[in-house]
Amino acid sequence: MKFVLRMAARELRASWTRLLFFFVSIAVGVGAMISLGSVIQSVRAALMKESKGITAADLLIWADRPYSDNARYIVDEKLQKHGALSTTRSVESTAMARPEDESRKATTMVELRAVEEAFPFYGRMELADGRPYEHDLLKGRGALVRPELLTRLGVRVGDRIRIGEASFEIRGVVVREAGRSLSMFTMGPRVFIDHADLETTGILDYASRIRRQILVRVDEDKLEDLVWDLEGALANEFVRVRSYKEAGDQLARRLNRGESYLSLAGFVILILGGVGVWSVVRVFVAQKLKSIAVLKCVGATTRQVLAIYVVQVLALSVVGCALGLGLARLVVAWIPVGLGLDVKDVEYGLTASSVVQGIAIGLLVSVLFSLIPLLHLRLVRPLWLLRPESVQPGPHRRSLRERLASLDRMQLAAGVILVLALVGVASWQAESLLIGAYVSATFVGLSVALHFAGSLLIRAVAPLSRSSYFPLRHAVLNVSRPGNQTRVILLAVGVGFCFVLAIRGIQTNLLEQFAVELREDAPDLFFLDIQADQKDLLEERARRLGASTVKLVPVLRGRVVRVEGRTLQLESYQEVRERDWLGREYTLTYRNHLEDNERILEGAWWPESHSSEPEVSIEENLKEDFGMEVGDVLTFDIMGRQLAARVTSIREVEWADARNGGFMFVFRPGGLEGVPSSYAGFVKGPNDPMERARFQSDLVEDFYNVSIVDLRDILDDLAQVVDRVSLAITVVGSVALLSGGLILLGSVAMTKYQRSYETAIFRTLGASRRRVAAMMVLEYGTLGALAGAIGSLGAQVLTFLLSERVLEIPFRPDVLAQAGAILAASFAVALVGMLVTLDVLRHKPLSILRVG
Amino acid sequence: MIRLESVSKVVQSGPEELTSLHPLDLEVPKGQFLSIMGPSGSGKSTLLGLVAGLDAPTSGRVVVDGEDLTALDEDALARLRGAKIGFVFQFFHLLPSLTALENVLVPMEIAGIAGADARSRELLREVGLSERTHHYPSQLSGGEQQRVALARALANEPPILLADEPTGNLDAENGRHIVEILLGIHERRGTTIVLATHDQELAGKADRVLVLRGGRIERVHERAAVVPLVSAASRG
Repeated sequence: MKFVLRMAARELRASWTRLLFFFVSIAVGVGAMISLGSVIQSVRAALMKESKGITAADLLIWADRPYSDNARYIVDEKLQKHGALSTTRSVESTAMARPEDESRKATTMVELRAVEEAFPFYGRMELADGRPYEHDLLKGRGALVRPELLTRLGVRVGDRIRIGEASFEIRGVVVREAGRSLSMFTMGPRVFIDHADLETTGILDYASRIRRQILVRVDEDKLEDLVWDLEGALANEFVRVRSYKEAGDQLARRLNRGESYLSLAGFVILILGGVGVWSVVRVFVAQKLKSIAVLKCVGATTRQVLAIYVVQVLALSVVGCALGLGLARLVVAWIPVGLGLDVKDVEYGLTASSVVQGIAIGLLVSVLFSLIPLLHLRLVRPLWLLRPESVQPGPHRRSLRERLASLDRMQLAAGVILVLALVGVASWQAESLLIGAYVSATFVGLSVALHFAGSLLIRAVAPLSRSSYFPLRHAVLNVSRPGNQTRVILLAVGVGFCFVLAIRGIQTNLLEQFAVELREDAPDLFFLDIQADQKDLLEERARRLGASTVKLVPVLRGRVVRVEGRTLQLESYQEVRERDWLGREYTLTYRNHLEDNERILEGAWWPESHSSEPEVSIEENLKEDFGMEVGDVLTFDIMGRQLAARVTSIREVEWADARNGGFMFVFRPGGLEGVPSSYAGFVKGPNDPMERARFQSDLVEDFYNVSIVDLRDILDDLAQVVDRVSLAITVVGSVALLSGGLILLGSVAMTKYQRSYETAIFRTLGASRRRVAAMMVLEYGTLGALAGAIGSLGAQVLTFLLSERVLEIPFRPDVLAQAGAILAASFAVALVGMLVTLDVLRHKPLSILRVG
Repeated sequence: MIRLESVSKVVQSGPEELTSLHPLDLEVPKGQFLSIMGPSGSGKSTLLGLVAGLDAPTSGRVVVDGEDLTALDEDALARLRGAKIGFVFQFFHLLPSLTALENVLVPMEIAGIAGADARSRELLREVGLSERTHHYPSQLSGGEQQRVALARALANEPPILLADEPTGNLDAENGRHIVEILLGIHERRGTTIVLATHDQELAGKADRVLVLRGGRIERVHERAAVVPLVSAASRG
């Protein structure tokens, strides 16, 4: 062992500069993995905070009727049992508001929220004048209102308004509120008052819609259990429970896709680092043949020799990992600033676990990727010292069988272990076995394809070896001579290109998907209760007032009261109600076209004609959760009228695409003939807040019965999150591209050590620099083009698989970009080949021949 | 000490087979200095390679100090070489990343010999390189490199020293220097030496000269007969 360590140290002392690229590869790979881990962690932390801000609490308990004694007891008991840290009450209700000054006639429906001192546990309340929010502003009949209320009622801060039987002084304007998701439907502008003043308004006695909420703060690790326990115990009470995580559902879905992408990118960068390591070690081993033969000649066993080089690889990997760690520290410090993330209150930075993970994976990858070329050492025989030519295979062509027979089983086994380890690491890092399997399968398939492409190329260009053009002739000979670099360059460039392009491709698909979900013309106002005769007028008026998108759809309210299905049989509404959310009131619509965000999964969409027999298309969750099927007959209660409709199709609805809304039940036109319906509108209003407030008040003035729900805040939040995730993805994609490119070109550059000798001989024999350079450009350019073509094909397959099967986003191939990429590969590899040659040409031939 | 029984060697040269050594028998007694002469391609290096266990014969047996090399695996052969055989090459084959001293140390470190450092210095002094211990091969002349190689070959005090044209790559003076050292070793330590060379003068100093041609033994001269042959050659 002493000998092994000493020899490893001596060798490293002499050759570490040649191995510089080794630890650069590892450093980039490990640095990328650790810092990407942190990006994910910080984005997740920031989003968690955002989700909590939307709910204003860890957990929300609410009921639309007064809590029964039993429910109250259960809530108290469970909160105590699970160690809830604190609670606060909030009541939400619709109410009418009007100016105290009776000379003003305006009135408006408001969304009243009465809160206690502790509100909100999370999230920010922002006032228009920049003052900090405090509960004292509400105490003693104070109110904080949204800007729309001021325009609707024509009042100002300091004026008094009447809500129910009480009068309140407007003490400020809220521009951003915590706990917005507590109620998804805002029937009017928000007004905050003190919980203590609620009683005096008297609305608790007559308001129809009162939601009593309990906001709970509880430790993260106790949250799940508490939710589960409460949901179970309150199943028969009219009390609902929701954790902040559900509020962030839509955000979470986007984040999960983003996370998978980031982990994937980190892993791919590491594979590219591995390819870099492989190419360095390969060249290193080729240069060390003599030393290894000498060691074996003077008595060293194969195991000792292998150990000497494995120790060197380990030492370099450790240095590489340490460098990577330093790199990651820099990146991680930059992330919150660069991505504009607010991570003040959350734990953030390089965590011990991410460091240990990064280093462990870095060591694993470098050892595994080194192992295959290192195992070649076993085959080096000391006879090489007497007759080098006798140890290298001759130039004669071998059959496939001969080649298979000559495959080194140990190297093959190492290859299998490498692939298994890659699957394992990828599954762990990207948290999906599917991703691991796809990435590793692509890696293996591509390696095999590139290997055979190399053989085919050698055969295909063979006739050109008789060309009279010297550089071409020698470029062809270089491609096919014994010990050629053909397969090495093909493999490094092809694999590298495939992964870099796939990462880019998935990034493009992902960002396009995000863009679709948050298009500029996405509706941000929701209109309710538009009467049929108001429809055309309202549409015209809204457009004139500055709406860019107006889409009105007929809506009815109804319940399912009976199901006659193949698997689901519910005889009465009582039975329907027992089926969880099936019993709720639904918004129904009818139309004869599918929206862009819908897709038929089963059955068929009806033709564009009216039908007298009612037909209905249901959303896929109704099948999944309750077992409804095509052919089932559902009976609805719509405004007191019973209507039986046959299910003719099951639809998938992309709920994230807000443009067209989403309906659980869509009827075929004709079936609902004679049932009174109103219209709902999806409208994109002006962006400027003041213009927006005026837009709403003008419309409400003309159409007093129409309610407007403003989704702007929620959409803005979503857009912000998506922007951050998109930025993170773009940054990471660029890092992958840059590091991938570096590693790839470095691998090509490594072949220079094997080129210098022959270049020196060419020059000694009188070849000009230009001639040698032309030879290299031809050889490397061809190899680059071939590797680029195969790599980009592999990238298409991988992008397709990961987009459609794992991330569940549509695959959009970009042929032009692929063609450009192939050209870029060819050009880049030719350029590196030439630069490397120029570097070799700088040295005098004699100095190279002497070292030989 | 060394016994070759019907040893032959056939090598693959591209698609064809080439016999580099036809079946031959040879015995080298302990302490003998044997020279192998012959033109290029006559099989000298092949023969040395077989004796050192660097190569395996196509047929026959190679027995060194009682051990049948054909029955040993690569690692056992390496251990045997480490303990019993020193090898000197025409092209020196020093480890380029190690200093002269470290190059000499390597065989002793592999064998786990104590006091290796002092012994290495002593060996380098013996070959006249005590001033060059910390030089790398690239900083040494050809003659100096060959002397380091010689010191390395002697590191583990092997009973057998094999040398493949050790002066073939050196000028006359350096060549002579190496020959003197070799003879000194032979005389002082009684080391069995098998040496392949083109150099008549060097061959003439051997106890026995074997002449190979086309992979066969053409003739064998014992020392008494060798001397006039050499003198005749040097006169001519």
